[in-house]
Amino acid sequence: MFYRTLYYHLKLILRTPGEWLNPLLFFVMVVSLFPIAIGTDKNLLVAIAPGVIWVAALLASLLSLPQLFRSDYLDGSLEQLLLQPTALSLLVAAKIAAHWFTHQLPLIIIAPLSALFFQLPAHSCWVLLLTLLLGTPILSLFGGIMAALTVSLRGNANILLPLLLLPLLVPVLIFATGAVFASEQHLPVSGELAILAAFAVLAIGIAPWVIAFALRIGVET
Amino acid sequence: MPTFSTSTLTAQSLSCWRDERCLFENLSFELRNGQALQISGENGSGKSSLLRILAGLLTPTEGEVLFNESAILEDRSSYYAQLSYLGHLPGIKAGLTPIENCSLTTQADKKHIAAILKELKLQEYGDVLCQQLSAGQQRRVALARLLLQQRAIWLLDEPLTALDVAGRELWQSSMQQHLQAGGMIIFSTHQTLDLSTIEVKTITLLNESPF
Repeated sequence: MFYRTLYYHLKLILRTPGEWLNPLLFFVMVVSLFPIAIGTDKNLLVAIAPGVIWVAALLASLLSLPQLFRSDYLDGSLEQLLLQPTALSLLVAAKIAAHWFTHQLPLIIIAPLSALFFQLPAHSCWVLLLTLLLGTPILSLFGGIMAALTVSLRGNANILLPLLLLPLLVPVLIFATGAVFASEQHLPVSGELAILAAFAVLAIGIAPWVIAFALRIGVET
Repeated sequence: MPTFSTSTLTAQSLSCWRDERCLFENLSFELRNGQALQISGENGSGKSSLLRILAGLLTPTEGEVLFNESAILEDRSSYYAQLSYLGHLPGIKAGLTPIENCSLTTQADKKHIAAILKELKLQEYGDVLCQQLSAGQQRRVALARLLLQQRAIWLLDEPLTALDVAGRELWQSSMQQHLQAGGMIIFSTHQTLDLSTIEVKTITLLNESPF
C-alpha cells in the first residue's frame, strides 16, 4: 500500500508540471539573481553563498507545502486515505516521500550548478549537497505537520503555515549553513552534519505519526 | 460477489452537537448482515454528520459506534478493512484516470478493474483523465471503487446525486446485490430509491426550532 500510494501520487504530481516546476524556478531565479546583483567580489560571494542557497531552498518549499494535503482535502480523497485499513502514518509517509522526490530532489540536483554562480570551492559544494540531502527531508516532514494542522483553514493556510514552520526550521538553517561555512574555512564539518542527521532521524521518526493525528483532527470540522 | 462474515454495527446512544445546536440525541440502532438503513431528513438535519460519525471521521459528542462489539475509534484498522464510505465529495483524483483511481484505493488487479468498469459502462473512459469526465461519470467511478473494495459495510451520503436514470438503476441493482450477498448499507438520499424486495429501515432526523 505504501508503494501504491507513493507511485500514484508521484504520477499525479509529475502530470502537472506547474506544481513541481514552480518552486524549482523560484530557487533558480533567486540563486542566479543574487550574484548578478552583488557583483564579482569573490570573497563576498563565497561568504554569502551558503545562506542565500539555503534560504532560497527553504522559501521554495514554503511555496509548495500549503498545497500538500489541500487538493486531497477539497476533492474528498483525504477522507478515502483516512479510511484505509493500512496504518495512516505509513500512507502519510508515502505522500511526504512523493513530495520530497518531486519538489526537493530536483532542487538538490540543480544546487551544484547554482554553487558555480558563487564560485564555491568544490569540497564546499559537496558539503552543501550533503546538508541539502539531510535537511530537505526535514523541510518536507515538518512542513507536512504544519500543512496537516492547517488543512481545513481555507485561504489562511498560506499565511499561517510559514509562521508556524519557520521557527522550527531555524536550527536546521543554522547548522546547514554553518557546515558549508566551516568547510569554506577548511574546518571540520562532521559535528554540524551529525546534528542535521539527528534532526532528520527525529523528523522521520515522529512526523508521520503527528501528521496522521493532525489530519484526523483536521477533517472533523 | 463475495459473501461476508457475520458482523454487527451498533450505534449506542449517539449525540451530536454543532455550534450549540443539537442535531440529534440518544440515537441508537443495530444493523446486521443483509440489512439496509435509510437516514432521511431535511437539509442541515445532521444526515451527513451521522454518516461521518459512523465512519469514524467525526467524534460524537456522546455515545459510541461499535463494530462487532468493539469501539471503532479504538480499533480502526479492523473496522476499515470492512468499510467503504462515499461522502458528498467523490474522492476521485481529477489528474488520474478511472483505472488509476481504482488501483490507488483498492487491491484489485487490472482484469477485475476492467470487468467492473465495463459493467458500469465506463470501459471507453478507462484511460481518460477524470477531470474530463462529467459529474455523473465520476460518481460511477466512485461506485466502481466501492465494488472493487469488496467491503461489507457501505456508508453512502447521497449516492444518487448527479446521476441519470441508467446510472441510478446501476446503483440500485448494485446495492441490492450487495445486500443479498450479506452486506450492510446505511445511506441518505432525497430521491426515491427502490430496493424492491428488501426491507429498508428508516431513521428520520428532525430539524427542531432552536427556541
